[in-house]
Amino acid sequence: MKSKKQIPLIITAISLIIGFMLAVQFKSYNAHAKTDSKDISQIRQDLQKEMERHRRILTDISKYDQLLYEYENPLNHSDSLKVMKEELSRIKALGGLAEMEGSGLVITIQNAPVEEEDGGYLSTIFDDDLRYVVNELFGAGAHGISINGNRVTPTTAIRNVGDEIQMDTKIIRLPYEIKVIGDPNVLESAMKLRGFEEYFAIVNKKIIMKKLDKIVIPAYDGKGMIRYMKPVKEGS
Amino acid sequence: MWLPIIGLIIGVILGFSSEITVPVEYRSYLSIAVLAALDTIFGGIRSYLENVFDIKVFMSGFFFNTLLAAGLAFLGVYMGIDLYLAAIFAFGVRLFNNIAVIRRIMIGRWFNDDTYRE
Repeated sequence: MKSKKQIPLIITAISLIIGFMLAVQFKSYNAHAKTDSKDISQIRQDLQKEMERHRRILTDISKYDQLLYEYENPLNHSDSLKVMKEELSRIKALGGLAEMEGSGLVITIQNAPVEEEDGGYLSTIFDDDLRYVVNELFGAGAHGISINGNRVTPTTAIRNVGDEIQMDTKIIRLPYEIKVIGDPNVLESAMKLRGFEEYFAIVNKKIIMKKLDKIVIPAYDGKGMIRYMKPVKEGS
Repeated sequence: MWLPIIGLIIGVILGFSSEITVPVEYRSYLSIAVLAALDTIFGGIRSYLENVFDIKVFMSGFFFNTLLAAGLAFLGVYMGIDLYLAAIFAFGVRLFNNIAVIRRIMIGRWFNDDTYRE
């Protein structure tokens, strides 16, 4: 049994602990309350500032957009119609809806003079081969391509249907005459670099490339190219 | 008699000068523990004045009540019942009781009159 003298000391120690707990509780409660309210008001102010900045930047953007538009399109009425027509024809040309002419390359793929009979399979060109060529030509900066008079548009499909190759729904047969508008030298070197001559030689075909100053490629003659999609309105 | 109050003051000073803060989610536990501790200390003072003070009871009561209160609050959170209200109620009532008894004893001693002690 502890002596009576020690008891106040123990109570003192415990009250010290309680005081400590009280103070910590009080302090943490107050600290949280203070930081919270301060933070919210500060955040609100920051938000206000940022929103103002945002508005300012938006008005700047619209101002410069307006300016850019004025520079690009002179703002009198007769001119704007002309600009629209030009834009339309440019888009048509790029999309394959207009005839185009320019310098470029004519690639003819034809049967090589047969020396021995190889059997049918090895001497067939597949859709893959033509797609590969077309892709490579676009990669080399071709503006427009037509194969046997069929314009290659952004939605053109080249695929095997049975034993024949179809472009969209038109059957194309040998010899393939691929007309490309673009820089003739770049196009030719791209074709050579990729080794198409050797590649087609394996399947007994010969590639003849002719650089011309003036090539005319026809417009896409299909109808209903865009049926299921509509432009999205801005801001909706 | 004055030693516990001095201890309390020192504890408060220590707590304020230290950098310890309790996370928000544990604040309710600490508050209930503080309440339990306060109840125990006043119970101790009362029993000391009544000369029935037992240090074992006091010490065990201090720690047990504190932990029980915090544990009740914890359990209540998980059960979806505000179980800490029970602790607050119990300790609050006991706190007032103890302080009333202490007050009576002190008044009796002050006036040297035993009629204040029930």
